[in-house]
Formats: sequence, structure tokens, C-alpha cells
Amino acid sequence: MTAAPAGPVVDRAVLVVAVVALVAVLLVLAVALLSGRWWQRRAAAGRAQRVAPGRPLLVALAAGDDDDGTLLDRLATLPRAQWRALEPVAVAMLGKVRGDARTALVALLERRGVVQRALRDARHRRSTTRARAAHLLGLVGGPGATPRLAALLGDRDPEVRAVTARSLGRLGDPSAATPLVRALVRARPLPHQVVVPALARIGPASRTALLAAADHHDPTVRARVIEALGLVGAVDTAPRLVRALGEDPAVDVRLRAARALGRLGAPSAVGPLLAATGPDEPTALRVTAAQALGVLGARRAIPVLAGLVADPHHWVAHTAAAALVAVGPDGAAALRGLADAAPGGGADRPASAHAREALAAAPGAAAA
Amino acid sequence: MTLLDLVSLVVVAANWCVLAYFVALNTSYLGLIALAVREFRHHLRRRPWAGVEDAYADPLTLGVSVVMPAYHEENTIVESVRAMLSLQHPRFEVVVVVDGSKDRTFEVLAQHFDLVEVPRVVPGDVPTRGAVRSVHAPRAAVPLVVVHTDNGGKASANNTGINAASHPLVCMVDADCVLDPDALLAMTRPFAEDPEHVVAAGGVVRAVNDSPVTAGRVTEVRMPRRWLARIQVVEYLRAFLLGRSGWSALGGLVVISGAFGVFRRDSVVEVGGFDLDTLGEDAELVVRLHRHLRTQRRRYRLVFLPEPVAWTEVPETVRVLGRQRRRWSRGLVETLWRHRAMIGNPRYGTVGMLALPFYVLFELLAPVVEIGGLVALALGLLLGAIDWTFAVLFFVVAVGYGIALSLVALVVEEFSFHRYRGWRDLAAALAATVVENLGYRQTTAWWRLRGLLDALLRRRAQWGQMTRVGFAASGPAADDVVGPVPASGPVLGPSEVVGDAR
Repeated sequence: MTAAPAGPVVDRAVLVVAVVALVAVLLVLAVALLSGRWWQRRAAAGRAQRVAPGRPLLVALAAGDDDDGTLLDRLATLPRAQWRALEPVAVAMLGKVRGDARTALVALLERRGVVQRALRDARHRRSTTRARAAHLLGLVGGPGATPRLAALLGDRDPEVRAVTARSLGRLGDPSAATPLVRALVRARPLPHQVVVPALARIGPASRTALLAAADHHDPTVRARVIEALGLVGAVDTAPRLVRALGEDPAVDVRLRAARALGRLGAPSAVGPLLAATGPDEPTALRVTAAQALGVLGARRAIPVLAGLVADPHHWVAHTAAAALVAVGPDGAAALRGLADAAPGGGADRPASAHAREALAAAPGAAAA
Repeated sequence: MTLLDLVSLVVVAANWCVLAYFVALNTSYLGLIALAVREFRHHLRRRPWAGVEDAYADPLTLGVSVVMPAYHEENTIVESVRAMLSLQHPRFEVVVVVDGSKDRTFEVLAQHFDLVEVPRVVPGDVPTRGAVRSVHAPRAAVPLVVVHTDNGGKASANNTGINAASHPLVCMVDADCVLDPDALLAMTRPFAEDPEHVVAAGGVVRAVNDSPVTAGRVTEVRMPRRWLARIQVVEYLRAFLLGRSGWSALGGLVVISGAFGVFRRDSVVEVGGFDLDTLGEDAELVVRLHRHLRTQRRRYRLVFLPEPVAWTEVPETVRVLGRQRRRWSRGLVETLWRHRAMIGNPRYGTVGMLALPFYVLFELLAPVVEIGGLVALALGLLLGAIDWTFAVLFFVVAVGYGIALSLVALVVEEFSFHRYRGWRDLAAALAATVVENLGYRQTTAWWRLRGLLDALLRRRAQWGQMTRVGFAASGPAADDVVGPVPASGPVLGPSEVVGDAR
């Protein structure tokens, strides 16, 4: 035997303690795993058992089979435990039905006090409870829902704010426009993808609030507001969008103004959009403007778009060709002229290739 | 003190160092798991009102092109494409790139989907190796494009798919993957919620072996029958699901699996697409995105979503698994070497100061330490520097912590996503946590070590070439990066410049 191990007694003691501790941890984890599985299965079975009696009644109610109100009465008087299991099913169903089915489900939720509870829960200290309340209020609506939701737009929790914005959009109440725009432009804004669809659902009633924010000092905010103006369909704001397209110092604002103008379909936008396809403009703006001209269906743009199909930049040419198809039969005719000019297409004749691709993508245009 | 005494002392010290290394490695993972748990809680709590289905009614929903490179997939390609075409999303297309397959991959596609050749100008936005032979589309109105190219390798096929994509987002998937039905809706959600900043989203990859798949859907999740695949279920859970979620929470996500990830097309074009010379092209692209955007001081985000899942067949034979791990290891070395300037560099924030050093210390060097530790233990016994009791205790501690970590991962899975529901599945998973640490880990360490050596031995040729490629020249200038115009949000990628990118 050679030298004794370095500090063997201490080393071994440390290792023994570590092994004992590890065995204890492993046992605890194994027990947690097994008991977790047992608990989950038991909970799922219990839930299924409690939902079973009420589910057929709920489905029948949503299907409009409650002519005499019996189903509603039976559901409204289900034992509390059964209703607690059934309530999420009813709420989920509410988001998928319209008309009488929706009215019947809302009546049930009101009878069970769910709506009143949601109005109360909108002030709950737990953020998940507030978010759930906001979600429910957006599905149910009714008196008091919009003001309560508008207040929740200022919630400290971003998730609650996002759910609230979606709920306000679902309700489509014009009085929500101003708080929603405020949520779009403040220092820590809500995601524009959450607010803008909500504003779009409210529609042109949002225009005043949006226009007031269109000159915001932050270009990111301006870009969002400009985009929203296009989506809410405020056609009379086209001059403001044209100004943004031509004069705004931020490229992103100009890009979104071009896209918004295409969406609005204002004839006054054709000239500024044609100017935005000029060779001195940023490539992204040229592409976006060409696409907007196609969406607008501006026949006046055909010569310019036909010229752009020969542009050396792939996406300018590709988008211009697609825009010509979108313009209509005259645009398609111009494309056929380009395609016939050099039938082989190929890398040396890109205009022809782009024209043939656009025509092939819209078979009706190719055949016309 | 004799020379032998000195050697014995060194061997004992080495053993303690190895043990300390494993404690540090597993504790780091434990920290990542804790962060992941916080993310999962948030994700699961918001699920009832996340509004994922709102995408259908939302005028701002961004279109996505699903890019599937296919090489020698004639037996599965039709089912895979049908599965992709049945995904839920209001605006998407599937772009299959048949990368010069010598089998009938293209022919079976053409026959089944009634493909016809279409005139299509595929731009050269990102570099490729395999020239485009032809582009095809179904006669019926199905959102499918098949690009037939010369063989250029997977990275080249990915890049061809990106070039052919007609939507502003690209979803890279492997041809043998099966996605959850709402995969596209969920994966494109972060781009909608933060369109000015999110450039990429990574998804979870799990093992599908022996789980029934019907009409492109995993109908029941089961543990695989073979032990090799079972162990990988636990491994994927710990390393991919929990590890990457943890890194995402820290803002240091550096790997988005090539099997399932969504990117802003323009951002990928801006950095030059997938690198054609790297084996780990998926991780390399993500690190390059970080490097480029950090260098430009732009505010951006890469996110990782614990749901939905891309289900993939994991290797079931030792030979295939060995090849895969050698490839991964070599890819990691190449990526880290190429971006070595980022490692420990505060300019690159969490990625430079935390994530990349972690990958060097605990991924790149792990097989060296693992194999070295086993050798040191054997040497210690041989020299009599340590006795058998000590050796066994030592080994049990090193392995036990690993088992505990895997068990923690299983517990987290049980209380969060709970995908494996049977008692037998649970028993198999429990046993797999033990087998993983007793044999599997040591074997994979050997393969990874060989991958590391592969990279080192070819250093001159490979790495010299990479140095010449040069990062700055890899893509076009940011203001010239244009692609399909998105229906909403910024037309260009992240542009907000921050004062201090750290």
C-alpha cells in the first residue's frame, strides 16, 4: 500500500452525509411524483363525475331546447359543487356561440351570480382572479362591464391589461376607444397586437382618440397609431396618413402609413403612393407602396407598377407584379404584355419571369 | 513523500475537483429548472384567456411559411406534409425543399398532391449550395410549394426554403416531426404581442417513439418501449424543455432547435441565413442573431415556449445515437469557436457573460471531465490512493445528484404539462432517470468527446474557412433587408436602438 488517502476520515464522513442527504431527497422526490400522479387522477375523475349531470343540460340549453325555461331552472339550482365544475365549461362555450344560445348562457351565468362575482373580482388582489374576471366580463358584457374594464386597463399586471383590452374589443363599446388609445401610447404600452384589433372592432368611433395621438413624439407610438387609423377604417383621416407617408422622419411610420392608405382605399392616396415607389425611396417603402397600390386597385398606377416589374430588386419587382394582378383585368393585361415580351423568362429576363409568376398565382388573370 | 505519494495526492485532488464540477453543473441546472418553473406557472395560468384562437379573427395575424427540408423521406413525406397542411393558422403555407434526394421523395409528393411546375422567381436573399431545379404547386388550392433542388445539405435546403417563403415569418421544422395542432398559432403569438422586438421563438421537441399518430396527430402520448428512447424522453425533458425555458427566462437562449423554431424572415436574411459550413447550424444561427443585434445595439427578444410540442423520433439504436451526439458535439465546438469573441464579453450581455461560458464549461468540457473523472477514480483505486468504500460513496454522490435532477424534472412535468398519463409510463420514466445516470450519460460523454476531437483534429481546414467568412459580410445592410410585406406591425426587423445593449 502506498500513501494514505488525503484526509480519509473527513472525506468519507462528508461523502456519507452527502449520500444520506441524497437518498432522503430522492425518496421525497419519488413520493412527490407518485402522490402527484395519484392526486391528479383523483381530481380529474372527481371533476368528470361532478360535470356529468349538468353537461347534457348545458348542451341542450345552448342548442335552444329550453322553450319553457325548465333547463335554465335546473342548471340554476344545481348543487354548488356540480356548478363549480360546470362553470368553466359554460364560460368556454360562451366564447363560441352567438344569438339565442349566447343569451341563454348569459342568463344562466347571471342567475348563478357569476357576472356579479366577476364585477367584484375585477378588484381582487390576485392578478389571476382579476384576469379571469376581465375575460368573463368581455364574454358576458352588460351594464357596468365597460367602465369596470376601462379601469382595469391601468392594472399593474400586464397580463390583466392585455386580457382587458381583448375583452373591450369583444364588447365593441365606443366609449372604450379613448382608454384603449391611451393604453397604446403610454410609456409602457400594451402590445399593439392586442389594442389595435380591439380598436378595429370598435371601428371609426376610435378615430378622434387616435388622431389626437398621431403626433406623438415617439416614432414607435406614431407608427402604431397610424397603423390603427388604417385598420379602424377612418377614411376621412387619409390626408393625415398622406402627410405621414410624405413627411414623417421615421421610416417605419412612413411604411405603416403606406400600408394603412392601401387598406383605407382612399383615391387621394394614389399620387403619394406612386411617389413613394420612386427609386430614391427606401426599398422597404417602395415594396410597401407597390403593395398598397394593388390593394387600392388604382388603374392609374398600372404604368408605374409595370415599370417596377423590371426593377432589379427582387421584392420590388415581385410585389409590383402581384399588385398588377390585384388592380384587375387592366393590370393583368399589362402583365401578359410583359410575359409575352420575353416568353422564356429566366434570370436574364426577370420582368417576364415575375409577370408569369404573378399570372400563374392568379389563374383567372392568366386566362382572361 | 515519494513520487507515488505525490501522484496519489494529485489523483485524490482530481477526484474532488470532478465531484465539485458535477455539483456545480447540476446546481446550475437546478437553478435553470427553478426559473423554468416560474415561466411554466405564468404560461399555465394565462392559458384559459391567452386568446390564441383570436388569430383567426385578427386582421393583424402575421403569415408564416413552414419550411421543411426533405432528403430521402419517400416513406414518410406525404404523411408529414399532410400533417403540416392540417395545422391551425389563418395564413400559412408549407414550403418543402426536396434537397436532391436520390430516392422517390419528389415523385411521391408530385403524385400524391398532383403537383405541376409553376413559374417562380426564387430570390437569392440568403446563400445556398443546391441550385433550384424547379418549383411546383398542387393543381388544387392547397397552400403547398415544393422546391426541387440539387443536393446542398440541410442548411442549404433551409436557406432555399427561406428564399422561397412568401410570408414574413418562417417556421423551420424537420420533415419527420409531428406538430401539435395549435403549434403555429401559439408559436407566432409572441411575434404578434411584441412585433417590434421578437425575432425568434423556439419550441419544445419531445420523443414520439411508440406513441400512436393518426392523421398527423399524436393521439396518445406513451413512453417508448426501448430503453434508449425512454432515457432520451427524460433527457429531452430536463435539458431541452426545462433548460431552455430557464435560459429564455434569463434572456440567454442560444439554442433554438432546427426541428422546431419560428423566425422573422427579414432578421434571418439580415444575418445571412443558416451557415452552410457548420454542423450545428441551428444554434449557430441563433448565436449569430444575438451577436449581430447586440453589435448593432438593437433591442430584441428571443423567446422559448414550453408549449406546443414538436414530436420527433429519437434514435433507438446505439449507432444512430452515437452519430447524432458526435455531430451535436462537433457543431457546438464549431459554433463556440466561431463566436469565441462573445464569450465572457460584457458587450453581449447575458449571452456573452452567462450562456456561452455555461456552454463552454458545462457542455463542451463536460465529456472531458466525465471521462477524466472515471479515469481518475480508476487510477485512484489502482494506486491505492482511495479505497473501494470511498470510491463507491464518491460515485454514488456524483450519480445521485444527477438522478435527483432528473427526478426534479419529472416532478415539474407531472405538475405542469402532465403529458404522460399512465402509471406504467411513470414507472418507466422513474427507472429511466436511474439508467440515464448509470451508463447512458457515460456513453454519451464518450461520443461527445469524440465529436470534440473530430472538431479539433480538423481545426485548421474548418476553422480557417470560417474565419474567412467573416461575420460583418454575412448579410445585406439592415435598411435593404426587404421581404414579403407583413399584414401588420413593423415592416422591418427590430430597429429600436438602445443606449446600452448590456
